Amino acid sequence: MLAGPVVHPPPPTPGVVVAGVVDEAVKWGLLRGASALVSPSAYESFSFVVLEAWSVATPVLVHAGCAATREHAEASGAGLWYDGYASFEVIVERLLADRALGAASAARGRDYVEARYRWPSVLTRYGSLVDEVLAGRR
Amino acid sequence: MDEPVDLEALAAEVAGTVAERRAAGLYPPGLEAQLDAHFVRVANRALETPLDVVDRAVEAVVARGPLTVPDVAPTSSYPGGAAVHRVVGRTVVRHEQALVEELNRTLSAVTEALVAIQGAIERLPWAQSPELVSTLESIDERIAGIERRVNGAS
Repeated sequence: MLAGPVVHPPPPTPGVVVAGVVDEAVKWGLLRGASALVSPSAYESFSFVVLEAWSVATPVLVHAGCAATREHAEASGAGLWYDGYASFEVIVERLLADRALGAASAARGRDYVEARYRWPSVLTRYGSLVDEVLAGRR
Repeated sequence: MDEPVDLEALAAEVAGTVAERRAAGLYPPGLEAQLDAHFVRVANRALETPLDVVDRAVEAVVARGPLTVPDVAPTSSYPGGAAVHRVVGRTVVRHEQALVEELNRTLSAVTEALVAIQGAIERLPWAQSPELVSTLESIDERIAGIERRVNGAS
């Protein structure tokens, strides 16, 4: 399933559904039901959808050349990334064959989201930043 | 509690499997390079401006012309074959020349059309700035998000 803006639609292929841009309800349904989310973009500055997938315990596969998503993958300890067709094929096969790996990866990702991107931790970080700025002015 | 994922071990395992498959000739020659090049083209397309695309098309068309009648050497491994080639060559050369001239006129018309499009796009200030195109696409995406919310999507 290809969801979101599709820059270069692939030719009709059995098993590949090009959904394009979907609304929020459909997006969350897709994320919850997916075996994995693949984020192939090499130009992300943060990538909400990676965190959204982890928040519903769906494993994520990112492009190794994207600094932002690769950082999420490494910092969370949940990361699965590929750098070309061959590694993509191997990781997808591995994920589909080893559900425990997917579950473990997704669990690490969910812990990462809970620890860093829920309001309490975000507000704590903002508070620390404000404290640092104020301390610097004294 | 799920076991932590050993990323280093997993990366090594993936690299090992890929190396084994390459060594076994599982991927047709050139497939990986072709797919990598395709990805780069698709990924970079988002950074291209409309003018970049038209510039490339104009260059490709200009590089094709002018067309000429190929100079085929009248040689043959058969006795008398070279003479036959010369006779046939003289017979068809005028038709080939006419066809090539017609093709060159078509090529010129296509080039002129593309250059006109190029000129029209050059006069659009937004079409020359990747940052501006990117910003417009971002705004478009945000408007789409607002519209989805207004239309009742959660």
